Amino acid sequence: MTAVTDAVDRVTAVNAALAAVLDPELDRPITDLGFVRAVSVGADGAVEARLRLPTYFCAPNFAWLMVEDARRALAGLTWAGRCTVVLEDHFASDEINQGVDCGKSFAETFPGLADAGRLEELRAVFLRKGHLAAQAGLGRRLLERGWTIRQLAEARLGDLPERLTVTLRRRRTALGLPADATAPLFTDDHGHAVPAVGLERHLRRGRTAAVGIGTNTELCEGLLATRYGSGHRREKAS
Amino acid sequence: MYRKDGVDYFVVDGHIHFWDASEENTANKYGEGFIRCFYDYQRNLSPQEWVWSLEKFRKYTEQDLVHDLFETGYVDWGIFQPTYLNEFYRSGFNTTEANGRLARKYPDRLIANGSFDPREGEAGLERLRQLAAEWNLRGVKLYTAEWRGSSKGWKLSDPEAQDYLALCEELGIRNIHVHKGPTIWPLDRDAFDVADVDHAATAFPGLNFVVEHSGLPRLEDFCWIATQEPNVYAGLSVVMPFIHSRPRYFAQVIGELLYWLDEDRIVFGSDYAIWSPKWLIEKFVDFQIPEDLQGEYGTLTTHAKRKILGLNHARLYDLKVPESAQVPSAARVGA
Repeated sequence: MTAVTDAVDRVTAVNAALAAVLDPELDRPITDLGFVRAVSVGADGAVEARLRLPTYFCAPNFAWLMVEDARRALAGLTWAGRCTVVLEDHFASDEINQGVDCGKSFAETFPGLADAGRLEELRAVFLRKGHLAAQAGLGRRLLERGWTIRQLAEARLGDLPERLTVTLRRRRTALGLPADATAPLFTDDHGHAVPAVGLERHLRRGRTAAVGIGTNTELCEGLLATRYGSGHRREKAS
Repeated sequence: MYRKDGVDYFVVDGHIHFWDASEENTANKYGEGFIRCFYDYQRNLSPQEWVWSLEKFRKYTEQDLVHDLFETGYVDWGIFQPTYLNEFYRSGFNTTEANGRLARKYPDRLIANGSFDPREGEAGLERLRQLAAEWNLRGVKLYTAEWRGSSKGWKLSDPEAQDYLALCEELGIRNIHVHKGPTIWPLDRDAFDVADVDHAATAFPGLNFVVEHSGLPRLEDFCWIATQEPNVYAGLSVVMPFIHSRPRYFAQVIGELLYWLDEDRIVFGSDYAIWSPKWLIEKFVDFQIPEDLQGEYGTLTTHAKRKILGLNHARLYDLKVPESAQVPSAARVGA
């Protein structure tokens, strides 16, 4: 392997690692959303990723989660040396970049403005929304294919081809809920099966959640394009 | 009043501003970032011909406002929602005082709302009394996510807030507009969380709670609360401009709101000067849910449009509506 192909492979690996980082609120990878402006890999294995967001005032809590998750994703590359994630053009860039770089927590970085542990709660709130929205999409597809509500209520994850349940299983795993083949296909936030009698309502709420997330994503993508020009978007993963 | 195809639409723009973000008034980089963020909102979601220069956007004139709302914008009544931001702007960004001066000049067209922060304790209650007396308040705009000292925001369900809401009721301030939107400050909690509205709406059935931006992006949480609380309303500011560049998303949000809330609890707002009412109103009256979504969401009727554009707000603010703009009584809700 030449040094050049090696470097190209490493950049590819960096992008692949960053593709696992979600914008918690939009339930989409930051690479999809155009939030990764640049990545670089040094000869010594040092990795740097530069992130940018749709507005100067994007909520710092979500910004923090993305920067921290990105740094963690980079640190997982076995060959990587020093890993740096730089958030650009944000009102709290300096605090967030330094805080994450030093391994501090959000609460330590913003003393007096945040409580320990709250950020993980926030992340779970949004994972649950993504989980609900994913179920609504799936339920709709199955109903269109002729499934009945009762069949949906009795279905297990393993009853469907894996490709249809990728997002659902990922969100469930992240939430610490059962995601094996025997787990119910449609569950509440605690992993309990939704009974047939409540399933339509459940899917309705999920649809509304999906509309909320989708509308917010449109707004954020539009603002990013307004701020930085429309050439920012990478090809969508799906 | 807007007239189209023989139908009169009484228009109440429930979300307008008269701000000053001129360079002279901008105190720091936060103020600079804030107005540029607003400007990107305008550039992102407006038709090209409705995008202003940054200079005009920072500080527009009284004449601009009168022209854009009343002379060309069809607005019968405009309601100011204040945004103080005293730490970003030397004499404030969009204060009740600045709004109120205009409202006093156009008493039959403009309404100035006030604001309160329950963390001010007794002094704040007194200040609210004075504000109400001075500007004849019928509504307040609240920002629950603002921090103050060691506090990282507040909730409508906080014990201190109950005194303020009770005072609102006593003073005849019936309309509580709640901004559930982007946080300015480093907060670890979810500033959009609407659960506290549920609590307050139950405790104060005589007050109306208008959740601005319809709780976006927490649409499902908002809708869930609104189904259970008859005095919770969806404000369409920020949702409206989607009608231009992302009409399918607009259709879906409106469709969801109509499904969970019905047409009597959705109210129009332009968020002027971010967006101008003229084009929003024209497009809204012409709008229909796309055919392939009608199976799920039904259609948007002329009655519903008339209610959303003005009649619902008129009910909340006791505004007189000309007979020509009323919907037939069978389509009205019990007052």
